[in-house]
Amino acid sequence: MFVRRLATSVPKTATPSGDFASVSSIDPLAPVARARLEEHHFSSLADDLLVLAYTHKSPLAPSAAEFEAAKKKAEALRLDEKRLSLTKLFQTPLAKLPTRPLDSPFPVTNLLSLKAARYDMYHANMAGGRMRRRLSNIIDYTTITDSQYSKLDRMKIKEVREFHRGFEKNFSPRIDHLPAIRKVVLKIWDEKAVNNKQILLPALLSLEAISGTRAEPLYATIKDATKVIRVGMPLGAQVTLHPPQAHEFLDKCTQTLLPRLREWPGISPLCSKRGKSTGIIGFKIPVGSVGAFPDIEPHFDLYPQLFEINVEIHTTAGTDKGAVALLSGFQMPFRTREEVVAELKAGEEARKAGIVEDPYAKFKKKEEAAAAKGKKK
Amino acid sequence: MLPSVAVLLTRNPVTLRPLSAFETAYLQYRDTLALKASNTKQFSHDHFFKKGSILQQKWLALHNSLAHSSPASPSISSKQVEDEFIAAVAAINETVEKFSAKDADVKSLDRKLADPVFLVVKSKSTGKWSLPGSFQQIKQGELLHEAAKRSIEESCGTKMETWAVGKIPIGHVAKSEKDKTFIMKQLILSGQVDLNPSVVSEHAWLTKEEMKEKLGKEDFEAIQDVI
Repeated sequence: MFVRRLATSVPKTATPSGDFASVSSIDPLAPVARARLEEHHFSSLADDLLVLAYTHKSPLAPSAAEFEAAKKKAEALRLDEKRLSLTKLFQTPLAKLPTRPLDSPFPVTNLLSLKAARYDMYHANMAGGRMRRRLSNIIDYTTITDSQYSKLDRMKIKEVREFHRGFEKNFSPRIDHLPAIRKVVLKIWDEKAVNNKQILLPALLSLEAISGTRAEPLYATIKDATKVIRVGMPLGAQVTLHPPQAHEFLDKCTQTLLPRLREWPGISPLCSKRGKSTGIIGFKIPVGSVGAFPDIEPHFDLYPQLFEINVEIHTTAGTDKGAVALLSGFQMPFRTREEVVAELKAGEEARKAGIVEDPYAKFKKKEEAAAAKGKKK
Repeated sequence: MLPSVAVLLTRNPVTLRPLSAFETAYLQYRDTLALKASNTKQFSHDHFFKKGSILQQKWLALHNSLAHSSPASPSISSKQVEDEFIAAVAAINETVEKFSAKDADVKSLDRKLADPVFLVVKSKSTGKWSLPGSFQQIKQGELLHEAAKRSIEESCGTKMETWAVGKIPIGHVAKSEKDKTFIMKQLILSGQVDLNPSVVSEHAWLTKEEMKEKLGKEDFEAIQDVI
């Protein structure tokens, strides 16, 4: 799937080739921006993740016969490399062409983000309520029934699928299952916007400054009469970043913002849904630290108010362990799993025992002591 | 007979690899698409300047005269901007030249920054080039990843900071049913090789193509698909 070429085999300066450059008005010497993390993922991280997640006794591993056949095919391909024929290209089925055009709203420019884009397409047709996976026919978008689906691939059988949910123990040796970043969503939610809609302007503008793309307002979906909230009221702001902008944003966070946060323990390695394990990792940027972004700091006074930003990183991993492995390869700082689990447990026990956390507890003892002294007197 | 453990010590690429003409053209095309996409935030100068201020007038005077430029349709820019661009490109080329001068020194960790490089050592006894640790057997009851750590420290010293990628091998060479060598992957984070002269006489940091010539056929075939 990944074809890698050595840097040394590419000419150092891109040379224009005759007619092509003059006709297309492309400047071959102009600098082009590339996301550093995307390049790292493709060249180094993908290999290491494969090794870290490998499990030898996976039922998805090829049998001895399949392995021999695959080996022979690889040998034949290696010999055939220099004789690339058009017939071979046309014999490849449409679904297998790496550059098959997608109906995706954002441009897809490499194999990693292509997989991420297809993830949404394959998971799009979920029957309401039953949440069973349905594959959609790529040509006419009709759904395929479960029985037909299960015949397509062993992976679609529920038991096999559940066995392979895990990353640590049960990851199959398939490069299709490598975790990659799908999208990064930045959200702001402030209920104070009920009384004053103008509050949303700095929210939208700060998100736009950070991400470089247009922000959309977020609307209330649940009414709350006590807070005078009606469904459809704009109460927040949101931005969705796809790769490569998603990688650039995470790079910015890791290199410039997160090192400047004070008394910040790190990102929680568990996904926010209690007891579940999804490939979505989230963290919150506290209000006081949003000004530390290099896009906001020089114009800090322009923003009358800044808000806590909720960052959600959606990956193609099925579990939090896979997502954490991917993101720690991007040098994102995580807390240890044991620490977080212990903290959550302690919180639950305290809640069960009925102990309510009192932020003024340390002051009360002094008060009580003073009151006691006063009584004695 | 116990198996031996060889270590593939990797230094990951440090810089982005250079692009071919086609790749540059394609990425420029992608950038122009992104500029025209509906979700691109157009720069609103009203947000950054006080309306009607002298600073805003100066900025508008400078920028209104410039046609909107993109990599695919470069416009006539001011001489100052062009000079800055030329100076920046010259600085980049100078740095690239400085670093490519280090490509010749096979013992340097700063060579071939755009490619991953792997450690290869020359055994003192046989005089053959191989991956470090190939000729030492593991001890009874020792795990593979422990053996890998020990063999690297014994042959190449303790002055390197390494990180083992998992506990399982990435490949193996089986010369016979009993004579097996498992290859473990490690990454070098910092430090340099400090050879143990009784075991190893020479070392080199080589790219995949360069390794093909130095390593034996079996050894290279075991890892050629993995690196």
